[in-house]
Amino acid sequence: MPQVDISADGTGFTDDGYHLLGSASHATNRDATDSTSGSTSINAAYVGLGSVAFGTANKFNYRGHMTFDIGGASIPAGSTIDSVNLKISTQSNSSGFLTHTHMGTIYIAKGIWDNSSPSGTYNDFDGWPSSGDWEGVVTEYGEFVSAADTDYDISLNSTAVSDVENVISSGDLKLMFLYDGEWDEDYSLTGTGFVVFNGAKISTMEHATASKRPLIEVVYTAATGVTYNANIFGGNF
Amino acid sequence: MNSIEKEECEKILGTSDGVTMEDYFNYIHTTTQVPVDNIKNEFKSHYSDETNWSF
Repeated sequence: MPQVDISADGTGFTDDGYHLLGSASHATNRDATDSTSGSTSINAAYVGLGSVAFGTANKFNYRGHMTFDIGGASIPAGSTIDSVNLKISTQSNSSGFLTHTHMGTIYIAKGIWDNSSPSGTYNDFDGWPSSGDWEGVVTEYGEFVSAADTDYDISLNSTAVSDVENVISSGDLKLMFLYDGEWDEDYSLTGTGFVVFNGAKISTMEHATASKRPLIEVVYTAATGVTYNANIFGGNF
Repeated sequence: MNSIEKEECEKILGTSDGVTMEDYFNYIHTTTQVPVDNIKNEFKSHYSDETNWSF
């Protein structure tokens, strides 16, 4: 069966990166609608919880985001999508002044942003409630256990496959990465340092090594019963 | 850069070649929103035995 590899978008509002919201409370951040910052220019999408030993708005929630242009991938109209695999890589742990620890489960949710406002997409994942449980409420495409320096090949679920099939001609697959500290409302942090971060740092399109950049592999079956017309002597047979 | 600076750059930026501590501090600022000058002060306090800094 044919396969197309689609890299994450690397420019504009759909550039891969992360949203960041800081306040005095991880719980407050979780239920907010807009981020206060973020980046699409560094080589990592932060997904997790963090704290910094400075100031009062020093509790941070990070959510990674990626967009894949399905419509631009030249998958023939009418094809059946057989599978969608996400290939991503995580970065290294660190300790000392900055303590970054890859840990926990990372959930891959269905993004629903409209590509018009980077900061406004912080809560733009399907099923987001203003409070309460995410499990069984947020539309999930998959999940993985975070570990440092790891290459992942994640088979996205049937919901993702169906969503890709629906935008073959025009549209995107949008992924929001969420840490289980937010998912389960457990805001405990592991580690000490000026900055403590728990979760995952996923390499983005800005990573210097091409093989570490995110992409999806889409396997499809082309539609059958295509009608071919032959124009002979001015007649269409 | 001294050995501490090189090690920190390698851990966070992936290399100590072709980068400066300004790149390092800007990276931390991007991920924490803490002003760069404050990060510099905290960094020096964290490694209080070292005095030979490049910044």
